[in-house]
Amino acid sequence: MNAVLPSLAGLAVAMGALLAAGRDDAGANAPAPAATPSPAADPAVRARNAETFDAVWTIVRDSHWDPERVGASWDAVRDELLPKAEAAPDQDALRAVLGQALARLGQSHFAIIPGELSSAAPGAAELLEGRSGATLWFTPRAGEPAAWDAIVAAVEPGSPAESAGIAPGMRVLRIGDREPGTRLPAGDGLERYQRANTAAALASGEPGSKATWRVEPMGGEARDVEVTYAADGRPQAKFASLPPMPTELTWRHLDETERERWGAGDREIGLIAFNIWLIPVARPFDKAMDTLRAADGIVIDLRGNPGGIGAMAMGIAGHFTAEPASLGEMRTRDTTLSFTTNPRRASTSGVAVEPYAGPLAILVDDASASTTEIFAGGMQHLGRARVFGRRTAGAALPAMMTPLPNGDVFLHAFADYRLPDGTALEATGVRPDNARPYDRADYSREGDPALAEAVRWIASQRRTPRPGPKDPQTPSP
Amino acid sequence: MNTMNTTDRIARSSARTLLATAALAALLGLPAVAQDAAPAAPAAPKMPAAPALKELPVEGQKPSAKDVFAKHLEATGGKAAWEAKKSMVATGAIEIPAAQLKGAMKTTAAAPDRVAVNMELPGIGTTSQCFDGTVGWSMDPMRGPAIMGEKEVEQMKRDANFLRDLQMANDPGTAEVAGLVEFEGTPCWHVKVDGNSYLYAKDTGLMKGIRMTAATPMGDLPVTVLMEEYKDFGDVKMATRSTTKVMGQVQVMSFEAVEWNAAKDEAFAMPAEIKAMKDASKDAGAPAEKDAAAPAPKAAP
Repeated sequence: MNAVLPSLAGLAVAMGALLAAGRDDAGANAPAPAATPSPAADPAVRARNAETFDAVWTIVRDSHWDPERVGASWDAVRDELLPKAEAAPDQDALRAVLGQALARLGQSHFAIIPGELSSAAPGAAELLEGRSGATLWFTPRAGEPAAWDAIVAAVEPGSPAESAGIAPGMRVLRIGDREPGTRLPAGDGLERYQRANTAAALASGEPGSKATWRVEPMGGEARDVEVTYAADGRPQAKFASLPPMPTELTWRHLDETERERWGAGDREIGLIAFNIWLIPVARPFDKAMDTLRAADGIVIDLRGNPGGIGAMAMGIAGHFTAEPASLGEMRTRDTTLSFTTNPRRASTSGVAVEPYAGPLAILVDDASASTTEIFAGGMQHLGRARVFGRRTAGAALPAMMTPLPNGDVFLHAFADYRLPDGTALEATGVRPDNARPYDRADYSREGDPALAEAVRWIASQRRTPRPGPKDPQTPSP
Repeated sequence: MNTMNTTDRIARSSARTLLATAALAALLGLPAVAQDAAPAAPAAPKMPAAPALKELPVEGQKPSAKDVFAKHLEATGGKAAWEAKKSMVATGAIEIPAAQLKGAMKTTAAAPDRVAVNMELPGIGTTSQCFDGTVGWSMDPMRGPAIMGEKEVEQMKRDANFLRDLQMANDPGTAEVAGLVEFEGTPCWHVKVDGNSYLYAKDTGLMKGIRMTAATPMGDLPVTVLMEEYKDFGDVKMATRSTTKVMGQVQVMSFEAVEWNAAKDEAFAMPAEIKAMKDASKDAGAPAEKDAAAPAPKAAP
């Protein structure tokens, strides 16, 4: 497994390109670009390096939607970095140079994916992280401008974190030898997404390994707990050049305790959660809707969902829109296409139905990116959903993947994305409709303040009869 | 036991997250474009599809559109051979090289204007489009089942015209030859039909490609199709490889086998979900489906 690690150093630099917002410095967590390694002497290596750099550079020049951004300054990038790329002694050094070039764009969805990580690579499936089941969130530390507190925002039931006694609202002072709130990039643009990714990484580890977490409950004493990271048992989906991805959709009705706790009374509220926009969640979502169509309200939990196949947003949104409606537009140099919802008027068993017209809440956080933002931002803009949680990542550009001569894959945005009123989601993200931002006390008191607020909002809505037939062929979970 | 340091883990975890952030919108949101470019040809203009075609000098007089269509008909087997064809079942492959996706494809077409296209791609599943002579629909795992809007149906109906080549050779209508151009390195007669460009190789008469605007649920889209590798299937000739360029992406479709007069009606039958939607709209006395690309008014939460 460790054989892939050196290549990931290069990827981290590419991540810097994704997140550094124009800085060559990839951020505190990314390794510095290879300093001054011995230059490649092999003419074949030099030629391949140059060919790879040129492929990346040319794709950006020819497909970036803003020709001004890739004009003279992009020519200068080539002049400066092509010789460095050519001289790179190994793949990692080459990726570091490519990362430097892409960092100049300061936009999401530009990255080099090492060939070792693609779905075709042997052993790619074994690279999955072990999970603690805790979700961390970085919030600025009061009175200390450059410091952050890591707060537990959620704990999955039955997870190692729960077994260890970790609960929402706790402050995490240390994980192993790392103080989580240090060495984080400041900034309110794509840096938020970088912090969210760092938080996710800190809450995971080698499957089966253990780490000591020092946690501090609200108003309590700090203590050490031991977390054993569990193997990720979720089903994996493969798609194109992506490595195998854990892909899961769950749905249920809120139980009586939850309804009572959050003031929903006898309202029947459905909760659907999925972690990525890949095909294996599409049909289960349709089937969930077969039953939830009769609910008094529906909550879709997309926290931590980093995106996936953009076209799926139109299908999922169609369950909630009676007429075709634009979620937003993608704009290339010469074409504008609308992400138009596809109203879903048939159940999975072929019964005519109406799209769900009841209250819809969408939960997001700073790790919700890309297609999740297209969906949540579009539905919010249409006035068809209320969004609760934390502001999304602001990494929302349509992208595609192209194989490179060196065996890597180039992920590159090729279009801008805007809401129907022209508002960009890139760097900005979707701002939730919460009454106010949640703080540590909210997490400690409510457990899940976003879900709590969503449920209270649904309960406040006028109850209307929804005649959509419950599909008799679809069992409840 | 933990063999990695924090930076490594962050990099690894970030990598997976990064990979999932691709929107892949155009890659997969446009499955309908020019899938059946082989025998028939699509429609309706609007946007510039690609850089201008390079004009070449014409020696002598330009042929008429009727001449060009007649030469194409002759080059692909002739009037009698095509008149004997009432339906087609073609099987082959579809590939999106950049995404490293390759799957199976089947096109069934029948006179006068029915067509069904089915694709099976790994990681995506089955995507279908069909026009049964009256209703057009699509089924794909991303958008779900959909009945096509007026504009898409109009295009689909034109695409599905099984007798188009015969008809155009007989009556070219408003088609006109704009000139001689270079298309993909080949001198071609540039025939304009309804604002779209059809390119016929000057020497062989075979159709070399199309530049058109395709109606999709996401809006109009400029598309270029390159048709190559003509082969005999019985007594007629067909392009077995068509390369579609759309929004900077390339899709390659290749036919391996073609059966004539073997299409079955079931190929054009509505799936249960489409039938339910159609029946419901009929019951409601709804007019023809609206164009999907038209945005709805803002609704109150």
